[in-house]
Amino acid sequence: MRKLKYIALAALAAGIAYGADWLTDGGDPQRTAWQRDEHILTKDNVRNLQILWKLKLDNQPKEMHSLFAPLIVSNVNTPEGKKQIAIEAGISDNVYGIDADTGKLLWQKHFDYPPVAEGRGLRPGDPLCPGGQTATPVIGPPTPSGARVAYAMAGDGQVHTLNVANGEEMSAPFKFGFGNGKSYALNLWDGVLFTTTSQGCNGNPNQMWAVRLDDPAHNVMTATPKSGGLWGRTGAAIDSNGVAWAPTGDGRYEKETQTYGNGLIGAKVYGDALRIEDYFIPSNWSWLQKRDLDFQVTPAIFNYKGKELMVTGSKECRVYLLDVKNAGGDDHQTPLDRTPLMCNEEVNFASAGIWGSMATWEDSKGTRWVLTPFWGPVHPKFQVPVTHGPVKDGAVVAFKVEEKNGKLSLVPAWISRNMDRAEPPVIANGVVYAYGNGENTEQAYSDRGLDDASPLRIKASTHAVVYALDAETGQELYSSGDQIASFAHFAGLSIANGQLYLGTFDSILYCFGLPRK
Amino acid sequence: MKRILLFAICLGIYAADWPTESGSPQRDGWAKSETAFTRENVKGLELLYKYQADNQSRGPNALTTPMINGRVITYLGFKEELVFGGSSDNVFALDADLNRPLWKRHFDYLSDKPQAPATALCPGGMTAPVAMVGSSTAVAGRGVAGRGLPPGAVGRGLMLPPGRGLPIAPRGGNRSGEFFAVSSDGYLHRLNTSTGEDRVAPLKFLPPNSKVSALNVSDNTIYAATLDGCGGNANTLYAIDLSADNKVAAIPVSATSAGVAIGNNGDVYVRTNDAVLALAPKTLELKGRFAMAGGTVTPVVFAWHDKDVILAGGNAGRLALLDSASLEKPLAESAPTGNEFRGAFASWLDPATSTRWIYGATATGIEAWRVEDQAGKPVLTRDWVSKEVAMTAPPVTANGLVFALASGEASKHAVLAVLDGITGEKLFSNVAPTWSNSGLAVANKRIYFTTHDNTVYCFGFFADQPQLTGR
Repeated sequence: MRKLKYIALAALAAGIAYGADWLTDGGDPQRTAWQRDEHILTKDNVRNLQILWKLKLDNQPKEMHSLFAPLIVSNVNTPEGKKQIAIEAGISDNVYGIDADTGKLLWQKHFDYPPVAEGRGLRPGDPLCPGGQTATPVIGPPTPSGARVAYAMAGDGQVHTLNVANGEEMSAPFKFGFGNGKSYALNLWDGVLFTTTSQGCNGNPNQMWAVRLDDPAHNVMTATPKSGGLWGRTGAAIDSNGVAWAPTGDGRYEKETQTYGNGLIGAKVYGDALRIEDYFIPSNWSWLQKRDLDFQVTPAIFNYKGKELMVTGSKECRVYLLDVKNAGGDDHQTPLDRTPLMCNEEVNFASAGIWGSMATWEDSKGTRWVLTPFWGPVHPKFQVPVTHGPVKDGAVVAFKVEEKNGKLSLVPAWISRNMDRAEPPVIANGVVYAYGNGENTEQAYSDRGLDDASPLRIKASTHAVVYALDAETGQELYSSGDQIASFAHFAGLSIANGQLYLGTFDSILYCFGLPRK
Repeated sequence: MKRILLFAICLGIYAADWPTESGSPQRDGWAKSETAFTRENVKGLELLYKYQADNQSRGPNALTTPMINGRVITYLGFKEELVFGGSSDNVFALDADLNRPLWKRHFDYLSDKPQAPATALCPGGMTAPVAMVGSSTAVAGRGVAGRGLPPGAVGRGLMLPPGRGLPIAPRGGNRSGEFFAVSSDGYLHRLNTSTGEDRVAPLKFLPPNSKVSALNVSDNTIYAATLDGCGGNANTLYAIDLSADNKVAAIPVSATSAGVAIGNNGDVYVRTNDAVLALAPKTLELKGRFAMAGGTVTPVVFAWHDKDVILAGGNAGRLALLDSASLEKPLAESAPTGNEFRGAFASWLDPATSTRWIYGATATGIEAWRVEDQAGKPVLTRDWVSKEVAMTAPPVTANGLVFALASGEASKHAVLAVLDGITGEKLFSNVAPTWSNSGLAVANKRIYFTTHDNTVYCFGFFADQPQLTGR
């Protein structure tokens, strides 16, 4: 192991690129958030993490949004040789190409377009609908010439095909979404690009979207659950059969009218159409709807003992285990397992519950782990064998997937230390990386009711803190403490080749890694 | 997520209120949006929960008729609030979904006059149910209109001095709204629905130690009557205009316990011993009068064809249907039946038959009447009489059913009964452990009442309440 470490450090020092990538938000199309190829950071050395570099970008925040999860592409051919490049998207229609080893800006691209004419317009101060580029880009497979391609969706709904090496457009942009429609992280499967939209921003329909990249006409396909919005942080997760799964947010469930609010839909491309293939609706959907507890967590899809499973959740603060081949069983409402409430005893719609996405990994002994973040205090009745102090602002919870007597279940394993609004973690080499986003999440006040306003929340926000945890125990191995200056709203972690990345509201991209010699 | 909710509104999210005695300013006792209870299923009603409030009974009074604030966005999230007053000058707010306390408010006695001892006729303490703006019609979830502070409103924990007009916080926008409560010292409290704190300093409204009728709220004005000469105060109807420097108007009348009914044009209808009076909003100036002996039931206002009509009850069960445009000449009258109505009526329009139904409580049971159209003229026809429940609180009607609470007395137990609104057949009854001096509230698949032992009861179906069962 030590030998391997030295080899890795030596390779880094020599400028030799590694093979690990982070090509899409959540790490892979299944949104597992698991970096399988990490060999540099370990449980033993991660305590030595430090900020290797930070880069202030000229991206202008919009409402509370700024930078999204960076994508990491290694072995990119450039005139200066092979480079590991970080592709960073900013809300103000910016994409940056950054040398991941040095933190040097290689190129930047700004999407210019006339004012968006479609839709209803945006409301200043509304954190839900910032306008601009809201979808994390996605990296496609190498072209025949070996070039790497980033697909990025500008605020006018046009998808741009950028050369990762230099940011140049490789083909003409094509229309995919609704202008200022708040699309979520792009996903790519078998030549089809997916996204989801929510919150009806600018009058945008809430639905799943797909387009074939090889279709010259770029016919846009959609699947509509007739719900409040598909605002899973990392968009849709895609299973091995090409079914894209996305949560549907607040809304009603009416089987007769194919109305699938407060659940999960799975849609697949058939010919030139995107069709809803399956769905899951929790039995208490009406309760979720009444209390604004949206089912809004992008699932993570994984294999377990020959089955393809997925986990998801909602602001109610439970995790659901589902079989992708038959989500919810015959009545679409029976999960394989449903955990007890982990948090949100107050039934709070704004500052509690699971937000974002899930994570999953398998250890060397074959144990399948599922990870979820949550906001707010832990539920007093939630039983978990390993704890790490009081949790009042949020935490990460780890479950083991177990099978007993033919029944699959999620067994609580540990809960992390307190984190101020814990966000979706990533896993690499037995270490869980998580962060408290530090953002103010209040949307309503005792003296005036609902008042979800960006200026108020920005002013009341603090700063993000990155943590490294032992993936088997939840024990804290590292904390960034006060090193990060700002908060991170709807951002995300990325990890590859011994480096961990997070962008914050002040448009600074942080890169953590081990000290270089 | 407000955008989501905007969509959700289109998708049919509704939350009904039960904002006042008999559910609306018109006092129609009609839970208009309630469809969970049917003739077929109501026999299976279940006690969902009960809540023991920390309150001291006074004379026959304990907890007031509950009210429901169907959806409020508090700083802790969306809530459906179950709110009721307590005779010891308390107001309680529970999470109606979870039977969990949200806040409790106690009012200190502010009057210079000493607090009167409780008697059977004049129990003292808080006697009027808490009220808020609105009616029992379900409204869509929170929208975006009306967000932020209303004009003149101030921040948390601050209060405007009395005398400054602060309009009632809007409903239907952020729906934070406010509750109105009259404490035993006669002060009107305007309470923050999220916290129970006073939004403004308490307003001097009624004489202390009064027995106060149910409040009614319309157009920034609160109406309440003092009853039975309690506290040495003459029986008087009061109105306080919150949009005009909290100006108080008064007119000496002997009103009824359910208070006034308010027409769709804002006119105020009050039953006195010898007449039905139409009064101008806010000022209470006399606009019309219909002589009618007997004054034990609050009128009900409803639409009949293109008219706003008022149904009034009189001696020996006589009924009169009055035209709001001209009270003097009744549109229809009924012959006496011998059973005098009490409290308040309930009334609904059956959409299937366009039949207007009226239910009244008497000492011996419930009577059902219909308003029939005969050659363009209304005719009052008695349909059925049920003796299954007697001495009931004002009935409530929903989805063709009649909900009645036989209040019992010190030696008897309260009985909740549900009758078929078309036939009068008893479909359900449940006996409470003690008696009640409360009315009913029906909203969002649940039925509520309070009993003399300071307990709130909530009935419904567990199948509709996943949050209570963990399903």
